[in-house]
Amino acid sequence: MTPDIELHRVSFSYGGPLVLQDVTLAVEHGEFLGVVGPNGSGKTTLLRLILGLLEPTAGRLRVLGRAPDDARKLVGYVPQFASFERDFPISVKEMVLQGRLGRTRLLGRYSGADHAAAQRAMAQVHVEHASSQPIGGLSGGQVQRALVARALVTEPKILVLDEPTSNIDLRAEDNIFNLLEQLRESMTIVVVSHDIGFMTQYVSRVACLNRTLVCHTTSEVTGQVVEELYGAPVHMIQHPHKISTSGPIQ
Amino acid sequence: MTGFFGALLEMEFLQRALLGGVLASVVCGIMGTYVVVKRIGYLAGGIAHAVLGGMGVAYYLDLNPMLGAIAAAVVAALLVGWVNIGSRRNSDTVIGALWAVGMAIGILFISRTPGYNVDLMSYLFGNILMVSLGDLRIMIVLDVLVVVLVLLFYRQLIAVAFDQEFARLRGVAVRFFELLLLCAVALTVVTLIQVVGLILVIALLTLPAAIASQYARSLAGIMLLATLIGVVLTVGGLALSYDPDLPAGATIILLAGLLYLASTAAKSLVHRIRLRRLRQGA
Repeated sequence: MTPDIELHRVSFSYGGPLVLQDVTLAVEHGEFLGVVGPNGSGKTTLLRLILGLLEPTAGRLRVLGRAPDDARKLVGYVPQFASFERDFPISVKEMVLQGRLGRTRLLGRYSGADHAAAQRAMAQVHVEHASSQPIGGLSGGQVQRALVARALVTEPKILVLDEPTSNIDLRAEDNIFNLLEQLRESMTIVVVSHDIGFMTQYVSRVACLNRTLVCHTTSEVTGQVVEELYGAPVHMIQHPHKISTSGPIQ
Repeated sequence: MTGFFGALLEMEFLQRALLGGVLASVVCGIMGTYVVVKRIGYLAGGIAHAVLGGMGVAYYLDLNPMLGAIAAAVVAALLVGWVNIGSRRNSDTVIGALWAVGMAIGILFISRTPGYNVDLMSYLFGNILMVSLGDLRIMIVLDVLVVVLVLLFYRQLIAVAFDQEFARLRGVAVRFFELLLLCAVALTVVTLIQVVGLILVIALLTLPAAIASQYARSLAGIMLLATLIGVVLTVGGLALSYDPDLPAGATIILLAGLLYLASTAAKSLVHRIRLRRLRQGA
């Protein structure tokens, strides 16, 4: 079976030096991949390539066996908080409904089916009680879960999350990852985060990125790996490692 | 004030002015909301001033200045939108240039047309009392255009205003809707110019929506409330200015500014009282 996401010697530059170099990576169907790395390591660029928002400077990239632009509608995207204004006058439900835009009719209003799908997605992430509230009144964790709901109503085969835990507290972070753990039964998940320690409890595999793919491991991320990745000793808190099921990368 | 309402029944020019004010309020409520939530007030101001170029040329060629205004507004909107999308750089400079160059073109053409002084003032500061039946017809067409556009594409326009990248990933034609939105803002500006003139337009475009956004929680709610506020302001301004024979446009804008100030002050007062109660409760 072809992998859901396949990068072969992918490099990328915004016009200057290479941001990503020679990245080869395959994400199998049903995997839960965590991408970690310091600021400016190319994590978000990697996501934008997978989403087809950028084109590789060199190398080959396939998503669900197609060019990323063509696979776009099958990829659910959860952006960072920074991509919109928190005080925008929009309710949780209205925001979640936006995930239906590619699947619903072009003109007029959302259909009953759209509303039903939004309702299901909000229930799935437990924000249905906040459905009619403006997003400005929600906590960080609630907004994050609403953003996941917006990605889920697109009925994605792959779910891509950019720094889902950067604006929320530890408990909410736990909730998000528990939610993702449930979702991984029905879809492939890629999470980008700078928060190594926490994420590695949940994901099936970690890809460490710093321009190149420094490591990809299913075993515990050790202090040495982190040091190699960040180029400096990093204080790491030991945590219990829960799962390591997937095979090594080819 | 009472004189105004008495005269309203008899004077056709007052009825036309009132209708113009209401027509302007509808589009200003709808598009002003987009301008406020997208924070493109400066851009709208640039379009408004650039419109003088089109009006000047039309005036020189002895055409209806409003048609020139429509052409110039749409060209300005497309230009700014194209620069905005193309480079992703801050479009401040381009908007500023458009703003001034448009006015310069207008002034040059008007100066080449004999007997210009009277009209220049009404372009700049509006003269709703002089609005003609022809102008009203054009305003109705613009109103219908904007309302239909928003009814058809309300969801896409919200999505593009809220989170462009996500909209693009969902297959929404972001560039198209961005340009469509700017064109609708341009047409709205032309409508409002009839009431308050191109210099004061920006206040009438943003203030009703800004006041409404302090109370309504959804975009559609803000649009409705802003339209109502617009009607109150234009009718109120007309009525207040009638007896003492003040310029109507300036009176409307002053009223809008005062209402915004009062609303903001009231909001912050309520907020403070709530905070104090919370502290005392704790």
